[in-house]
Amino acid sequence: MTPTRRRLLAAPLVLPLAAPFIRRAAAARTITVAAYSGIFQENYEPAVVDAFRRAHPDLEVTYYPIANSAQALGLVRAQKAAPQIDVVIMDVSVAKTGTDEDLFEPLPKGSLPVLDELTPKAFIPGVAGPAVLFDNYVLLYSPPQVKPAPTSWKVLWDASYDGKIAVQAAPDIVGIALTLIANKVFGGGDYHQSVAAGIDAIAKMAPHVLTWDPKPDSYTFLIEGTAALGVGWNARGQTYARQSQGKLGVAIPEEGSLFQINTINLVKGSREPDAAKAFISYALGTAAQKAFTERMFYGPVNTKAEISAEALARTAATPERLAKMLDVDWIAVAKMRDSITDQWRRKILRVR
Amino acid sequence: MALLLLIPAVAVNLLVFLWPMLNLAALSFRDALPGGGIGQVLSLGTWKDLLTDGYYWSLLLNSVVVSLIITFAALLCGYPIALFVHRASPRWRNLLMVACIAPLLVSAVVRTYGWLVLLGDRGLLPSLLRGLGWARPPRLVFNEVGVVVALTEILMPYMILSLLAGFGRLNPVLEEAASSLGARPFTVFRRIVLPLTVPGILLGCLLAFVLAVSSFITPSLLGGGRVPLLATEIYDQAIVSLNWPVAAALSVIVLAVFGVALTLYGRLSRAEA
Amino acid sequence: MGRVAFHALVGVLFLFLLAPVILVFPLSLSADSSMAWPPSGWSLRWYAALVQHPGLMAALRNSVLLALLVTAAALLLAIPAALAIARGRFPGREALFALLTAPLLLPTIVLGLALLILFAGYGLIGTWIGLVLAHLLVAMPYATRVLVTALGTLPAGLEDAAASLGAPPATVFRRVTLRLILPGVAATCAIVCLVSFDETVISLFVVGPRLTTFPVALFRYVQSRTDPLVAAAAAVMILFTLAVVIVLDRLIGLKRAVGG
Repeated sequence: MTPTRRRLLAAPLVLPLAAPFIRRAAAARTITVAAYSGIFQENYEPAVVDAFRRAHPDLEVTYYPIANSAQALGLVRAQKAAPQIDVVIMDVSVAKTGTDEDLFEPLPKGSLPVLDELTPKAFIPGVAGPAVLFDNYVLLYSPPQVKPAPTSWKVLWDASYDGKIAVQAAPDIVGIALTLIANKVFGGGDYHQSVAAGIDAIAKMAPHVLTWDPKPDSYTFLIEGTAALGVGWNARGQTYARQSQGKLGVAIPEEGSLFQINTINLVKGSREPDAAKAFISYALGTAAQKAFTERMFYGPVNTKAEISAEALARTAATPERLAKMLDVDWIAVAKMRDSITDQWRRKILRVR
Repeated sequence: MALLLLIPAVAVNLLVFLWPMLNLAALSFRDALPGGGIGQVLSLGTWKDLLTDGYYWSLLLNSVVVSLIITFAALLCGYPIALFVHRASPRWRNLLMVACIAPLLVSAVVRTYGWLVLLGDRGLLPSLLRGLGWARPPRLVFNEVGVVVALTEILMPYMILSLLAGFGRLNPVLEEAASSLGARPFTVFRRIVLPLTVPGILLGCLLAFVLAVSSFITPSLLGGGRVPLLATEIYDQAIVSLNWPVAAALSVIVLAVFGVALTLYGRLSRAEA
Repeated sequence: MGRVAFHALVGVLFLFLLAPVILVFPLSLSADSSMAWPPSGWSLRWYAALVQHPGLMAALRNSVLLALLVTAAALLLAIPAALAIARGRFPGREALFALLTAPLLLPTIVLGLALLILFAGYGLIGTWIGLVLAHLLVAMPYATRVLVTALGTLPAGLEDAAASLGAPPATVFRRVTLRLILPGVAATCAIVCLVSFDETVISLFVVGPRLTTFPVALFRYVQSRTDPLVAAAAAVMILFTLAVVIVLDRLIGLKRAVGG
């Protein structure tokens, strides 16, 4: 081998060796915010995270997309020794588990000025972080394929939609919520005692289900016409419904639905707790709440945010939607989540 | 002197291989506490739960059956190619070898994605079938069919290479002799070609089976959440449920399956030789 | 079975084998926003989207850098070890060689889990050190094996001759041994580089939000969505692999490198 060739080999080896150290020296303070992937990220990042970045040019904010809260919890747990996530948005029942495991720093009323602006419903006993976005569970349907618009959850058990149902399985909270709904609709009684009726009902539905893991999500499956029915969340559903011009319908069936709370949590052991708190304050503040609700129709927690009536009408917090909500104790569900997930794995996902 | 040279490599091996593996095996003898905690005392609890739970047995059975189907399919698809490459002229042989090895250089994520495009509901094959007048072609992804098809293709290069390595004893003169004596082509294949290629078949099947049992990327992307296998369960238990003792015990079971396959291979190839 | 039928069968099987890889290229040029086939038009928009995707581009940089770091580390560790194993005469030589190459025989999902459990306790998840160590786990067996083979095929006489002419051992190593095994070293570089660049399953267990690799980022992307951006990324990955192979071929000749 000639000397030139040897140098050719050596140069690419040596240069990058130094690179991480060079970059480290110049690195600013960074925080990592973990929140949902997909359409949530597509809207939350420009509406909230980018605005925060502009307001804090000294901070580097990474948005780490996660498919669901259960995965986020797993991630935070695995990094307990050296957390790489500073702020995590997750649903309240998973946040309860995380709080019980001492993964989050409590943010009680008074710990941040912005917390005084929040509705009392934003503070959930036993959960470290406050609520940041309200939502509710909905039945999704494809108006061209499902006529007339469905009025009952039982449409999911209608054999004429064989192979046309897309549902995200447990441990995703969408699957957990479906268990509670099915339990009620099929006469399972108090879910605190048993959800056996719900599990059995979903097992009966299973052969008709196209996929338990729709990618990117059930909404897209419906819009593309691959599926005709699904379950999901009001805010995402409303956003997609508006974008797709009639290819997606969002319904709250007559049996009622579930209210959902997304919380924002500060990870214990964060290397940048002040920067993380600054982000949390911003996310709960009037500007972010207004911007995001007007963009994606999550129910706001900040009572001072002045949100357009048109956007508010699409959120979970309207009186007519609130009237249809069933009582659900997500804190109690937190303790049942692992067992429900286990039953899904054993009794539902294996049924063909 | 020689031992000194070995110290750094062996130290790294101990650090990233032996220690983690022993630690893993030891962890299966601890209890999982709710919420990802791990008990401090040695216990057979995790193993007892696992072995008395029909779910994990069916998982093991499912894994083994699916892997056997994939192995058999890879053998069926790989054998003609290997035979063809083996018989090709040297110049063609090199080119064909490159075509066989090339997919190995492409990440399994990418190849699985390729299959998603081919088999997906709006992908190439269903579109083709619909074009041929089949209004509702069967679903090819998000079930076992997709996983089997894609893994067969992904493991075929290993099968082909193993077959070729074992084809050494195959001699065209023998085949010609048999046909000139009036044997029909199929008889020649059954009586001459097949017996001579058994070593390659055994090696290829071992490799394909072992890789199928431990494959994770393809089942998790193409399974649609309804193809529960040991490998996907290990990942779910480790990352989502954070039940490390169960994940560790399942890993030990996978290693045991490996052991059985290896032993079987040893027996068969000795019996054959 | 007729010859024509056999050839047709082989042709179909080759198509089956190569279809998913080949398909990636036309799909990466799709103008659609979903991966439906056939695309309704052609464009380079997904390559543009890839370049503008901060997460994937950062992961790509990480992966290239990681591959180089792992290659350098694997060489530093494996060359002395291979020398000792190929040239040394000591008890337990075979056992040590088996130990060094053993990780190759075990399922990556198990290795990944083992590392996760150990690394989590020491805060090594999602760090450069953790990733380099994890990749060394799979890279070292390849490096050791290729180098031991390369050393084993060398005529030992040349080194003895140099030594008998009075050259000190270090000089013998530098001027004789190293030169002779350069093709083997180059092959090791290429193999380790590719192994590290493609490694997905073990990485999946040890990456973190602050540090992730390209195949893992791609895996996560495919998990959440299926637009042609992945095809563009896949095409880039295939071209990177091809580049490594071609550079290797130019430098030393492919045949010599793999010992053919």
